[in-house]
Amino acid sequence: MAVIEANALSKRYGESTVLDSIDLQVEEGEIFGFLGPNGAGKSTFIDILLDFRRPTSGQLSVLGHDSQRESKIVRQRSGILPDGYELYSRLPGRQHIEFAATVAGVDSRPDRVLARVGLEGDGDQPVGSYSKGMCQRLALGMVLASDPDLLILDEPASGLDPNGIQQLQEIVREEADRGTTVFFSSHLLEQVEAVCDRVGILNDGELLAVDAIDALQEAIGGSSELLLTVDDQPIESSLRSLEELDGITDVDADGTTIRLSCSDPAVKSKAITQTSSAGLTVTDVDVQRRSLEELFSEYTEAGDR
Amino acid sequence: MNRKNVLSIAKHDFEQLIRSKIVWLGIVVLTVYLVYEWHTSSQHLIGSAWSIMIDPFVIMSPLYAIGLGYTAIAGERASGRIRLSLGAGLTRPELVAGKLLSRFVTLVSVLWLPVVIAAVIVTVGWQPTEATAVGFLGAMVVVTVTSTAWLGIALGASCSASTQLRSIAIGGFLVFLFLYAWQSILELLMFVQTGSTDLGIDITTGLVDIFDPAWFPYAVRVNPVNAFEATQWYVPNLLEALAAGETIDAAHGPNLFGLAMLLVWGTVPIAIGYYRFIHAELE
Repeated sequence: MAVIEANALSKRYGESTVLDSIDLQVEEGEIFGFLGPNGAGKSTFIDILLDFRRPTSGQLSVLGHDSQRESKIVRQRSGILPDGYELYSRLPGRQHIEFAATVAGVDSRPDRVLARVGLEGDGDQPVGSYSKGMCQRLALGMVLASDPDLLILDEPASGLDPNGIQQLQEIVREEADRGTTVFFSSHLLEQVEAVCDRVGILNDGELLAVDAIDALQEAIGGSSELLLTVDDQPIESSLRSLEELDGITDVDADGTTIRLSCSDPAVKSKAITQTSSAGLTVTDVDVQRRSLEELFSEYTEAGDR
Repeated sequence: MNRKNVLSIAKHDFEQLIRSKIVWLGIVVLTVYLVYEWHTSSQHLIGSAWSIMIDPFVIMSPLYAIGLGYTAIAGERASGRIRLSLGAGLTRPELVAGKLLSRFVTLVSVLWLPVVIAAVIVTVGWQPTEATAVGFLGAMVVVTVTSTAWLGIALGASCSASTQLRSIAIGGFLVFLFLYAWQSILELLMFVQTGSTDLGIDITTGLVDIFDPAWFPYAVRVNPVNAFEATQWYVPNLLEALAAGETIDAAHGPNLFGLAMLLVWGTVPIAIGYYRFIHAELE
């Protein structure tokens, strides 16, 4: 079942188009990464999910409910960690968790939630004394306390230290394991790559691509790099012979390391054989996939052209 | 609307407010002001003492109500906290109702606590007053109704505005209009109609019911400041007379209209702001 289903969803302010005919399906239990530069329209899409803003045209169903007509049910079954907020600075963290649980109509277990987000022992302190990272943990705790079926995270790593980021990723995976659908919006590509099953790339209001990261790499071509370490510095003719192989798009050498961009996975073994034929001994082989960052740049630049 | 949710956000907001140093500073300032006013005017406190005793509220109650009201919803939007609250399952009507409840309870506490403290201090220290309990309580009811009217204006502005700056600008404009400009505007209209601005009586005391032009005492009381000044005399007089089984000779029409205007100010701006907020997009 699709937890989020957008059909031709658009949002315009006068002449300005913020979202342009978005078609998107996010399935139950998946961790979906939503990528895009600032101003791409990610937060606007999230706002429309929860009826904080209304679309200009198109349909949007969330958890099987119309996002506008049945927004109350949608918000009761969802939880959002927004990007940029302040908490009630004079109230203790525990009270925030209790408030979120009460409003959501679920049992309040503040100690358990506080421990889960790494705030064990800090629940009785006023939130004004918290660091930015602690506030982010507390807000995440508020979202978890409401026990949502759909977890919407907008730049969730903001303010978190490396331990906090790791803990966040663990929580996201745990939630997905118990059937919660996670909508993970971030510009930090490595985090999206670390936890997400599929990603959508949004730029200037247009959804440029939606797929698993591997599939996106394949679709864009030149999806991997072959790094060969050889026993001697390669001569120009050796590199030229590698360039002539079908499936090799670029060759670069740095000392005894040859870097080959491969559009065809099958060309890798040919390249190793060709290198040996050129009188070089291959001492190490490493294959690097293109990073999500490169993919992201490729897609957004292609969208701009 | 879920009553549990309304009480939950109201409790959350109230507990945040009562921990505010500014709220406690307001209580201290009003207490000191009341003790000073009551002490210095104690030799005059006979019969209608309540009218002198609540004079400080003419200025203080709009300031306190606007200060408490303007951030109620606009502050939630500005801080981004509204996304957490609504995202947790709270509805916009529940948020407005909860905020109204918490701000009203805080306002009543901020106004009545100094009155109680000052009354104890003045009574124990100087035993000055011959004011009747009925009259004084009646006057304080008027103070509360007037403050609620100002809170309604501020909360309505807070619901209507997308930023705190706009909210305080709307509230500030109305305070300026009603404290300093309203009377002049009406007098100008009166001058155009009659060639004079002199009524020869205190228009707000409400003890006379014949005016020329007849619309003037009503138009004056559209202003919540004037409505307060009129009803602070009228309501306690009326209550005292009723308690004694007597009647009073007063301008019932304009004064009841003034009382009704206070109720209108306490509700209509909230209704308008509520409608705008329900249909507003969060930015």
